[in-house]
Amino acid sequence: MDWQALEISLKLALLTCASLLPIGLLLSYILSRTQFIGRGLCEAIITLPLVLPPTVLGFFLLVSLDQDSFIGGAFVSLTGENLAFSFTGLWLASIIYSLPFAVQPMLRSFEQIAPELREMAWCSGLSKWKTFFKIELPLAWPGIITAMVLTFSHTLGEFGVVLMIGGNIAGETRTLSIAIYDSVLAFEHEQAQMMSLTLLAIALVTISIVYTFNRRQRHLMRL
Amino acid sequence: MLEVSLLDERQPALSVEFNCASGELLALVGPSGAGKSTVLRCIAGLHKPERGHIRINQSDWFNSDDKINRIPQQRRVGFVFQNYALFPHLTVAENIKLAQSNTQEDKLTASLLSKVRLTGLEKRYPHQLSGGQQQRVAIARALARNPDVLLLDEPFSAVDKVTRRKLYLELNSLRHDLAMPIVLVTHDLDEAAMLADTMVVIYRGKTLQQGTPSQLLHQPDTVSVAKLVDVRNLFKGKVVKEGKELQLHWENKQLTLSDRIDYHQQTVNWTISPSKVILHQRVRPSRGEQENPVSGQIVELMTLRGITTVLLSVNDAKNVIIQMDVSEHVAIRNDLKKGDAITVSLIADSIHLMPS
Amino acid sequence: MRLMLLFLLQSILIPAYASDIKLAAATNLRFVLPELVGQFEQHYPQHKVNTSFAASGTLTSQIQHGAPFDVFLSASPEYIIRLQQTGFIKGNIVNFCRAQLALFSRNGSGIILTKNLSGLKTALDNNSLNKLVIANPNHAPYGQLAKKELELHGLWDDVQPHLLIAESASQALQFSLSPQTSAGFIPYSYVLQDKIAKRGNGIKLNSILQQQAVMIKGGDSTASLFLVFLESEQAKVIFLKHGFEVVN
Repeated sequence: MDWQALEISLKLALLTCASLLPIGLLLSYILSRTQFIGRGLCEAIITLPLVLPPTVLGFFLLVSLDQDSFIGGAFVSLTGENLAFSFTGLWLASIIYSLPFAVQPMLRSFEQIAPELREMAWCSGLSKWKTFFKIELPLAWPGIITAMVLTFSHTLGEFGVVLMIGGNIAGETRTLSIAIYDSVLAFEHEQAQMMSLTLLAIALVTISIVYTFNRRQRHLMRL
Repeated sequence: MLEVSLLDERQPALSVEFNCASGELLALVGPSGAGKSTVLRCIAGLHKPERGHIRINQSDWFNSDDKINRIPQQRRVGFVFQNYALFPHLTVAENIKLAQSNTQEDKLTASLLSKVRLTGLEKRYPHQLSGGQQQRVAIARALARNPDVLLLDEPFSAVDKVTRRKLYLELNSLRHDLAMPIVLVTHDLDEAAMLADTMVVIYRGKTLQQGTPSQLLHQPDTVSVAKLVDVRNLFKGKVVKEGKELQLHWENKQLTLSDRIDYHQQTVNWTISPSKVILHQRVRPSRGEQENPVSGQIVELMTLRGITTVLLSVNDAKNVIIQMDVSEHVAIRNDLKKGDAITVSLIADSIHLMPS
Repeated sequence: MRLMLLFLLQSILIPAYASDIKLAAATNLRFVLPELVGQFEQHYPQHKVNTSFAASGTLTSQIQHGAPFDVFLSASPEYIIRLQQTGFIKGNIVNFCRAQLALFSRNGSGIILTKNLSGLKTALDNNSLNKLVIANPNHAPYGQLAKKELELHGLWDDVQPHLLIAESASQALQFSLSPQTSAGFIPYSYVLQDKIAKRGNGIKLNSILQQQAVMIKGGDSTASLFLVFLESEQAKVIFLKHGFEVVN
């Protein structure tokens, strides 16, 4: 069992969740509440990582994180660190490839909230912020939880992109899924099995927690 | 006092003018799509009209001249939506508390709940309530802000008929404790006539007439209002002066008019309320029956809740039907049956003329 | 949610343990390096070595994109030259051992193993050749070597329909053990592994690959310590044991 890889995987998944919670909320809220030209394109770009082959995404990310590129170069001059093949780069990439998994469920749940409830809140004297925190956020909660779990599981399981832009550097970018691949190649089938079962268990537990939670929530509010 | 004057040439077009005094219940009636809800949304600040003003107790909520447009949060309205828009994730008490200016004040919540007779249901969620209970929560929540004006948007359309009748009575008794102007939007004329002090007819965004229910229903200003308030017995005739007497020439008949009418030598629309058509008793003829007698044959007879509606096909006229509403016992005593020939009187004072 | 945050905080606060030397190693060194690194770490307990295995070409590309390796162990000089030309390495090139190619067939595949590949030819002629595995010649030295070997014996064109291209030497081994394959070209050092020897036979071919190690631009003195260790007597014993050739 490669504990280091498990730790990196969990750290990456949790950090990605923590980053995508505000990013996803902001994007999905804006998308659900405003109409503007290019909204469709905007939604398409966010959904793109869902349909792109990991290799294509990995290639673009690799090119853009490279120290010769704008982003990669700026990061190097800012921090002295390289983005490509670093944990930070992997984190950044995870935010991008998990973006649709975070935004889509949140967007759907915001869209499902009847506009009257918002207006009713305003007419009841609630400011827009209070309306968001007391009405919209609680009502979108199941979608937000789903988004976080999908982000978590997807980040935990991503392989192609991680291999392309993270390489396979122990203690830095070797996630559990890469470690599994590596141990299969090294004929360490027992290890591979252990790690695969671990990933399976984590995925199963998180997803069942969400389903149970969402069902209870839905039952409570009969939404 | 709520003063509303709105003008909008965009879609949805508006040309609205009405006042509602404190403690008065004003019903905004008109067919669906007439812009009734838009007017309420304007008052609440959810929709911004092009021009006009909305003034409550001399203070402007909206005034296009002075560029005043307060946001909904600054308007202190109590709004009951058509589907109530209760917050599904909050309990009854929480729904009401949210709208209170002091959310800590449990006493106020309790008194509001008892006002709408919901004590004991504080901890229920909206989905655990019946339609009528949901409406009461919505009303309690609307009152929780101690509003300057109460807006009710079709508040009875989401409940069944039996509940509706009960809720009418409840609203009627509740409103006498309320000191603010109340605006009720409805497409149901009976509902409006029953609950409102004042009715405003609105059609295609334009307010046509403001008056008491009886004014509107029996003496509409125009034919359009008459048609919108579903006036029965709408006919065309001509006012002719015969000597000293004013007469209404209608279908080869000359009906006497009372002298307060001033449509000389004009073609007019006229109407008479079905309840004011007087039946000549067959067995015991009485005085006054000589006034504007009209004979015909009963073509239809219906009784609903003590009122018998009689449709009379007028003799010597093609397809002219007069509707008459009499008490059920009158119909029984006179033994009215389909096919019977009867005579009725159209009393001069009951005939209402409108310009054509 | 609170639990998640706690977990997150914990995972940030406890850093991954310090990794001193980041090794990029060709996959043919997969079975020898753990032993070597173990010995090294015994000598220098203050240093820890982290190894990443991939095809030499893949690693070269990663290094060129800025992968933070300290030492690169290549299965072929070709990639070292490429990195040298683009200025990604520093210090001397260490020729630490030579590796050989093997033709491997799993138990029961029925391919006769000979140095001149006559067994493959026979199988081709009587149509009994199933899949033949090679590593990708585009970026895996063992693939290039296998291609050369096949060309040398005039079989390259004939085996085309049978070729199964693996990503790296490691994957070539994986594929060679699958029931659909007749044989595969893999590093000779793999053949000596117990768990592989149990499942098939391999024959050492004449093709030789010079294994080279070099320090990457970002590497420091700790990295050179490892390079020195690669040429030590102790290391040579381990290489020999795993089927590599060392020059005395």
